[in-house]
Amino acid sequence: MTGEHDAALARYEQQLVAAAVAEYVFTLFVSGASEMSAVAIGNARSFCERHLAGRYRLQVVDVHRDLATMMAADVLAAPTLLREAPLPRRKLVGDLSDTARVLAALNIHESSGPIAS
Amino acid sequence: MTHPATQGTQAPPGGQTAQDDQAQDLALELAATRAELAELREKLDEYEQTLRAIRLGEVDALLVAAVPGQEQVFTLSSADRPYRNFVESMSDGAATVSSSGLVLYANQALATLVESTCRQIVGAPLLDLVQPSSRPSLHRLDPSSGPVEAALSTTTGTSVPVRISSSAPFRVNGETITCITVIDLTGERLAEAKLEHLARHDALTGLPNRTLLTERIAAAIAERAGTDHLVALLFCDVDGFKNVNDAYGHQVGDQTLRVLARRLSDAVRPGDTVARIGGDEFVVLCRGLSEVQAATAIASRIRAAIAVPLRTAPNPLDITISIGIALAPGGDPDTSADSLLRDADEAMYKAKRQGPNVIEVFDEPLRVVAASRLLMLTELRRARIGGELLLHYQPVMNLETETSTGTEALIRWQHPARGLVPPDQFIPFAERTGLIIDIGAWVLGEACRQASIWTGGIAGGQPMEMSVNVSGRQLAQGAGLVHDVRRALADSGIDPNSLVLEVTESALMDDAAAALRVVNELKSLGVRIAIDDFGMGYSSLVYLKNFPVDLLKIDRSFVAGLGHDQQDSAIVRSVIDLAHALGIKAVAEGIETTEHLRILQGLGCSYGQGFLWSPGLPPAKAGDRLRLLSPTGTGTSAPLSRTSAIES
Repeated sequence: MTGEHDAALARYEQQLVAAAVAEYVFTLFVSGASEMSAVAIGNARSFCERHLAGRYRLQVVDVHRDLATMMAADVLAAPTLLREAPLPRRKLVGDLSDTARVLAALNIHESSGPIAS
Repeated sequence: MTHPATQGTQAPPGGQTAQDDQAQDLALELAATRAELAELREKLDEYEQTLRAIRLGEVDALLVAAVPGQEQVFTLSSADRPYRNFVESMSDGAATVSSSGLVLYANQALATLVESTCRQIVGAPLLDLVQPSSRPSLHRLDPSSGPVEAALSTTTGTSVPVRISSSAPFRVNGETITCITVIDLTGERLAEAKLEHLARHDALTGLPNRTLLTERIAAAIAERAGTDHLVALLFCDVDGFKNVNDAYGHQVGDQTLRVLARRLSDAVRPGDTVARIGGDEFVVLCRGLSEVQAATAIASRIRAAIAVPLRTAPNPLDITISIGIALAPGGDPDTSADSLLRDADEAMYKAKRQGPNVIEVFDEPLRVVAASRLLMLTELRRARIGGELLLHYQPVMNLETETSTGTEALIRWQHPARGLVPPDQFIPFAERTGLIIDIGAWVLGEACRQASIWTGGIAGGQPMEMSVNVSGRQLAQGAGLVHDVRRALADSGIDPNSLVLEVTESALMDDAAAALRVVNELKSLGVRIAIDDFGMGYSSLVYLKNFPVDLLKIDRSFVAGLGHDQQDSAIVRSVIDLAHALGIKAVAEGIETTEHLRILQGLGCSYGQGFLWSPGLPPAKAGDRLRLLSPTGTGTSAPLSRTSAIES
């Protein structure tokens, strides 16, 4: 086994652990360091902290640097928030400034888990 | 016992399996289709959501595949760039304003308008860029009610007139934003001011024109100013200015007027208005005078300033000016700007009559004259329309055969109260007021109509000559006169060659070049031209040669002296000689005695008219007289006795 394989495996396991820990996994696709990106990241962080504290993982993808991820996730615009877990995957396009809409769209309930859709 | 039905329906195990498989396949297919459908629906939702987000401005990057397989991310700020460039390079100001009135964006043009930078403007309240006085108007800024006009306040403290229009507010990132465009009206305002100035000023001299003068007079009259309350108008008319134009051309004339305008302006007091209201007519408005002498003192200063020879022509020009002064007390409700101007004009005319360089103050008798002239104007208008104007006709004789060749039409005014008014009491007035144009056209038409009647009735088809007087004012009208003559000829059907238009020498010489054009045009219609009152004005023999004149009429004042006044006889002789030299015929007016006739016959004068044969008579009587005097007439051509010749 090469070191590269080890590292990959480690990442996989780490992800599994993270997935097991985090009830909610989000990927936020943004367009570089634009103002709107900053707004969207800020909004995503604050609602996650407020409603899903300790239960979420949020990663940010810059669509200019990682076009492949964007295409793989079928994301068409930035900012877009992708809920990867729980399944099914859900997307929300926009800067996430309307918290009520975000909660409704992502089907988040503050104490309980997601209602199956 | 076996159940046949059961037995019958018993399918072999293999067939049973095949059927199940088929159902399972179908179910799987259905599930797959359902999943596909759900996925499609989800995609559709996503697209709709994306579109909505774009519309709301909540997206700043898009995945775009212009060529399939070559996807790229397109940032919306770069999509915006052409528009941003457009807005940046606009010559009009543009800005976006938040709902709280802060400038979020400003283009360079707006920054330039307020002599500031974009950096300084952005973040500041929009109202800071606007003069306090026009801030309220900005609250009315609403796309539905159209643009508002306001004054911007620059950093250097000046004011810039602008027109501001706004877009409908829209939301970006939760903020309501309005776009405004700001158009600089400075150029427009300057053009308006220039137009306004042009409308109230004389283009040649830059002085106020009649419009502005009238406004200022009205304002001055309306004022009440303590003891020094007199308002004076000094109506200044350059004496013989036409001579300058005639001698040196209009360019020198214009330059002379400019210099005169400057001298006038320098001669008056600060605050007085100097206006140019006509060719060589200037009016000075003075306020705050205590007595008449103050006005005449200013007039004297003007006269002295004008008296210094001008150097606008090849030779020094000595110019004099006639000044008429009219005064009114400030606050006098009976005085209007028009009446004061008319009074000053009247005084100026009186000054002119007394010779050049005279100052005349309008007084009460003049006011009476002015009032009677105003009445005359009204009456004369009525006379023309109401048929009070009549034509009398005086036969014109061939002096050799002593038979008539035609008549001269003479105008009379049958006034309802004053009786028959002689032409010298209203024709000069009609000339001055321009009424002569209308009257002259009527005379032409009426005389030609009468000539056509006589041509058939008395002359037996032979052309009956008709002489009609044409005034200087008619001649100056040019095309109008030609039109009137053409119409008179067409309406009456008379031979154009039988119509003689009599023009005075001074009318011809007033603007010789223009007169020559008109005369040539008239000649081309076939009519003949006579110079009336020849010898009375300044004889311009040089000009006379250029004019296609057919007849010279010797003024009655010279004819009256024939036989006893040496000088008059000499003049008459020289006029007849001149006519012969020019190859044209002479007509003597005012032949009263057989002695006049004999002398004129001796001098070779071709035609004549006078009381010896007939005064001017109404059409019917003139017709009778013509019958007696005509070559084919039945009567004798015995001269009338002088006592029967009653004409004023």
